[in-house]
Order: sequence, then C-alpha cells, then structure tokens
Amino acid sequence: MSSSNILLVGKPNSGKSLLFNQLTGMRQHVANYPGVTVEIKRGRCNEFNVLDMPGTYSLKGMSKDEYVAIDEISRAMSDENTRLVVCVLDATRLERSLVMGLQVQKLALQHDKTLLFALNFIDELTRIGESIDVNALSVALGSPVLGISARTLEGIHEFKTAMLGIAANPSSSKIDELAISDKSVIEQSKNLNKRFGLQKDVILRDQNRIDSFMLNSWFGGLAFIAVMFVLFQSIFTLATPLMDGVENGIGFVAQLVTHYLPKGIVSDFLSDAIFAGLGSFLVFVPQIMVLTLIIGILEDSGYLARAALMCHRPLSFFGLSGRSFIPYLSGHACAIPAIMAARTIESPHKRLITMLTIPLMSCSARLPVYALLIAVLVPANQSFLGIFNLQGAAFFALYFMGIVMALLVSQLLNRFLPKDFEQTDMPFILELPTYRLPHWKPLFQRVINSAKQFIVKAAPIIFWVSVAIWVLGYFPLNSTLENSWLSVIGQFFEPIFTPMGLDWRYGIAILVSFLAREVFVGALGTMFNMDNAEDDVAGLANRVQADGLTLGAGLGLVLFYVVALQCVATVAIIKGETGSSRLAWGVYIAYALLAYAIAVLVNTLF
Amino acid sequence: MKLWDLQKNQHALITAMSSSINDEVIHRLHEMGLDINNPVLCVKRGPMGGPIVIQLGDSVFAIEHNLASNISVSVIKD
Repeated sequence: MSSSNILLVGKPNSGKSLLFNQLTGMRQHVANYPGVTVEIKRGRCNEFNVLDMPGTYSLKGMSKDEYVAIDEISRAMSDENTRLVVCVLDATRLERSLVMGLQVQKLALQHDKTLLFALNFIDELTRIGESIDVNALSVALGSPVLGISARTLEGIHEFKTAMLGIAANPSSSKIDELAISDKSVIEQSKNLNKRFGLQKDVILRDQNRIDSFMLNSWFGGLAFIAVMFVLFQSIFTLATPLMDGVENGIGFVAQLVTHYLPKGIVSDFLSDAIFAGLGSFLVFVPQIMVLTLIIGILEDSGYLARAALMCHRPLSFFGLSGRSFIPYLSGHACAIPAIMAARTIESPHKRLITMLTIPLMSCSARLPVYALLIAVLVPANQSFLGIFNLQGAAFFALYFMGIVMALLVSQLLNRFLPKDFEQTDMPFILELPTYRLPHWKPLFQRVINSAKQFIVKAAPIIFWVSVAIWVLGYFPLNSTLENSWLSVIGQFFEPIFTPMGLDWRYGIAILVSFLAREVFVGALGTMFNMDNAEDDVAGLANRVQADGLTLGAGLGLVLFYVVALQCVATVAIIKGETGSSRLAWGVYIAYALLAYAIAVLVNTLF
Repeated sequence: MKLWDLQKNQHALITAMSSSINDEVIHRLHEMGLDINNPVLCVKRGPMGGPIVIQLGDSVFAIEHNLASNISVSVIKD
C-alpha cells in the first residue's frame, strides 16, 4: 500500500467536504474530534490517500481554528509523501476564492509541490446562463483548472482521471512560474476576476432577498425561535425511539449472555457492571447523532451563520461573541465537541469565557438524571397553563436554567477574568455563505463520526466507574449493600450530604457521578436494590418517592445536577484547549461548590 | 461618514481606514475586498442592533460596530 498523499484545501463552504466524499467514497477516517472544521479526514482514491484539510478563509489566520488549520496545511505541504495539492475554488465567488487559491499556489511552489485547481459550483453558473473560460484561466494561473460540480457530479469523472494522472506523475504538470506575477495576490485576484469572473450578482441578489427576511429583527427573530424549538423537539421525539431500541438491544444481549452462564459472581458482574454500565451511556448515542445531524443541516444550509449573527448583539452583553452560539448549541449534546467548536471564536477572551461556561449547558448525560428526578418531583399527566405537559415544562425549565446560569457566569467572568493583553482582541467578522440545500453524504459522515468519537472517549471511563462501583457494592462476599465497602465509604462522607437533605445512598451516587454524571441513575438504582434502573426509571422513581425524598432535597439535587461539572472527559478537554490544568480543575471544583451551595440553599428554603 | 452609518441598499466607496485597526485585521479586510477605493453595498442594518451586513464584490460579510465605525466611506449618489 503506497503512502502517497493528495491534499484537499479550500475555504469553508467551497464544497470541499462533498468533493472529498465523491472522490473517496464512504470509507474514511477522522484524525481528530469532529467539531466544526477542525479535523483532518483521510480516505482512499485508487492508490492514493486523500487528506481533507480543515477549511480556512486565508493562509494568514485570525482565530485559533485558522491557526490550527494553517499549521496542518503547512506541515502536510512539506511532507515528502505529498504528491499533489488540490485547491477547491468557488466559481460563484471567484475573486475571494482566488485570494486564498493564489496563497496556496505560492506555498505549493515554495515546497516544490504540484497544484490542481477544482473550480466548484459550475452548475450554479450554468443555471443562470453563465460560464467561465476554464482553459484560459488555467493558462493565466499557471496551474491546471478543471470545472466541476461536486453536487451534480458534473465533470467529476474527468477531474478524477486528471487528478490521478498528475498525482502519478507530478513533474508533468509543474506550476508555470512565468504565470506567477509579483503583484500581490489581492490585486492579481481582482484582475483575474475582471477577466474571468461573474459580472452580474444574480446569486447574491437572491441571497440578500432571503436575508432581508431571515435577518429582520421581527421575522428573523421568530424564525430563529422556531428553528430552535424544532431542534429541541426533535432531540426528544426523533431520538426517543432510537434510544429505546438501543436499550432493548442491550437488554436482549444481556439476557442472552447471562441466561447461559451459571448463577454467581461472573454472571452478576456481567449483568450489573458491564451491561448496566454500557447501557447507561450507549443510550445517549442516538441523541448525539440527532443533534449532530440537525446542527449539520443548519450549518450546511448556511443558516447557522445567520443564527450566529442574530445572536451577536445579545450575547455581547454577557461578554460572549455571536460565534459562541454554535458551541453553546452543541453543548446540549455533549460538552466535548462543543469546547472544540469554540476555536472558531475570534477573540481569545470570549473564547475562554465560552469554553468555561459550555459545561453549564444541559448535555445529554444529564437527561436520565433529569428524567428520574422529574418523575419523582413532578406529578405525571398534569398540565401547565392548560396546554403544556407539566413534566415537559419542568424539563424545559431545567434546560433554561442551565442557559441562564451560563450567561450569568459569563457576565461575571467577563468582568473579573484578567484579560491577556499579549493577545489582541479580534473583531467579529462573519462571512454569510449562499443558502444551499445540504447534501446527505457529508452529513451522514458527520453523524457517524460523532457517534464513534463519543463512544471512544466515554467508554473507558464509564467501564472503570461501573466496575469500581460494582466491586465496592459486591464485597465483602455475601454481604448486603448495607454492610458492603460502598456503604462504609458512603457513611464516612454522609455529613457532607446532610445539609442537602440527603443520606449516604444519594451521597455515593453523587460522588461517583463526579467522574461521569451519567452513572448517577445506575448507581442510585444499585442503592435502592434495583438491577435495571436504567431500563426502569419509573420503577426507581416510585421507590425513591416511597422512601420519602423531601421536595427541598429533591429540588436541590436536580439543581445540583444542572450546575455541577461532573465529567472528567470535559476537564481533560478544557485542559487540552487552554493548556492549563489549574484552570480546568479549578472550573471543576468551582462548579461543584456553586452547585452544592445552591442545593443547600434550596433545601433550607423549601 | 462611517461604514456603520450606511443605510440599507446604499452604495459607497471606502475612503479611509483608521490606523487604530490592528495590522492582522487590516490584512484580512484587504483580502475580503475591504480596501480604499473599493465599492461597498449595505445589505442590511444590524439585526437587533448587531453587526452591519455589507456586500463586497462577490461576497457578503457581517462586521461589528467597533470595526465598522473605524472605516470611513463616501456614499455614491445614483
């Protein structure tokens, strides 16, 4: 297997990811966590590796995600295994894409690499009766240019043949140095655009017409609220049947396995530690996939940029940027990709505040905890204001609480966090891409990758926590839970939890959830002698109710889970992104103390 | 007149950029086509008081107040 590489570079929204999918098929490998355009995807096209480099607007960066992208592009360019660089241009925005294209060409020349331009979206030009003289543009640029449409596949076959031919014999198509002028890339792009580019702004006129509605303070505001409503609705409605499917599937396998094993320690271990532990986190995978899908649709259609723009002013009030909106949104699935997505935020100060407050978004790992405690505290089948289901309204209130807390903490951090004067604060500049119908292929890849990465990151922690709780609760052999090692530890820590109105059983469940909060329900189930608490939340809720959890303690407990940062994977990612473990653990402890204070306060008040 | 003061659908030419703008930002603005003597069209005044939406050549950008108020323009009468 050869290790020769073809690099794909281009701006965001140039159709680079779709071209990558069309060239390499559906088998690919992501080298990083899938956030927003920070990963390098690797696929095969005949004997070559095709690397989809992260998108950037320029080879001179302004934000962290661009610095990362540019570093990666430079490194890959200097790699001796790189045979060919493919730069994707947007035919509908020729001048702007040539600025980047010519920068890439200069870099390729420096590293003695061959360059091929893919002029994408020619189908959109054809639709409005326009075309670009590709051959003359090739001569003027000094590198081959081929017109393609990654969406309609127009010209893709010819492109692939040409690309593989050049990659097999790069010296056949060296950059024509005579064509390289010493004028600046900006001036050169302007001249080339005058000769070759679209002289009418039909495409932009349509875009601006839609935007005069979408960005209107009234209509646009309503549209924004409607989009967010549909998004949160579908996290629940679309994901629920899938989540039930996962639960049933695991239950079925667990039954099958334990059925054939003799009763005893091995069977107990498998059903209570392994399957219960696995079940408690695999169940979130559908939700993360649904959220990734919807965010992907919003991003690829061009709406996410408008949403960030609409939010900029309101979020600025709390010391955040309009770009904080996207990480906040994905934080409702999982904080880890959300914190990575904060790299797109232009100002380092705002980026830091965003990263530190993302853990307050109610991620999907909090869902089962909310579900349990709402079932305990809020009567079922009652309505609120005559229209909303009372339990549904309680869910909404908890999500809302998380967002409000995040905004309050942001405001405080903005005021008291020392600004790093070494780093200049970059202004908010956002490109509004053309509205386009998203293509299913890149979306599908994104959804699959989000699931894969979540499992890879979370599985080891959940596994060890489940095993540890099980061992502590099972031994000494033949003991009941009340005289197990777990109980001894729990009773030692009980005084901490007394002000919250909770006994040692809750204490243990809270303590173990400081590693990963999703183990709370399972752990509490163990405390209430239930083997399958994850599958029977209603049954556990009945037992907790019958056991006499007071309103104040219950309310305090649920608010504790809204605020506390109980996820070591999140601490690890904050440490990775900020480079400071003091900061990461500081946030972990600070949110725990804040959560504790709120819980104690609520317990005393009610 | 400042870029920030443009009204919807007004065409203008960029006349000056404040020296208080950071070099990296100036470079990016030039790459975007925001440079002296280049035309600019105001697509939309900021939604909810937010960034102003402008068209520069073949692309549309949103730019926040503290930057847009540091760029001078002169309106083209049509």
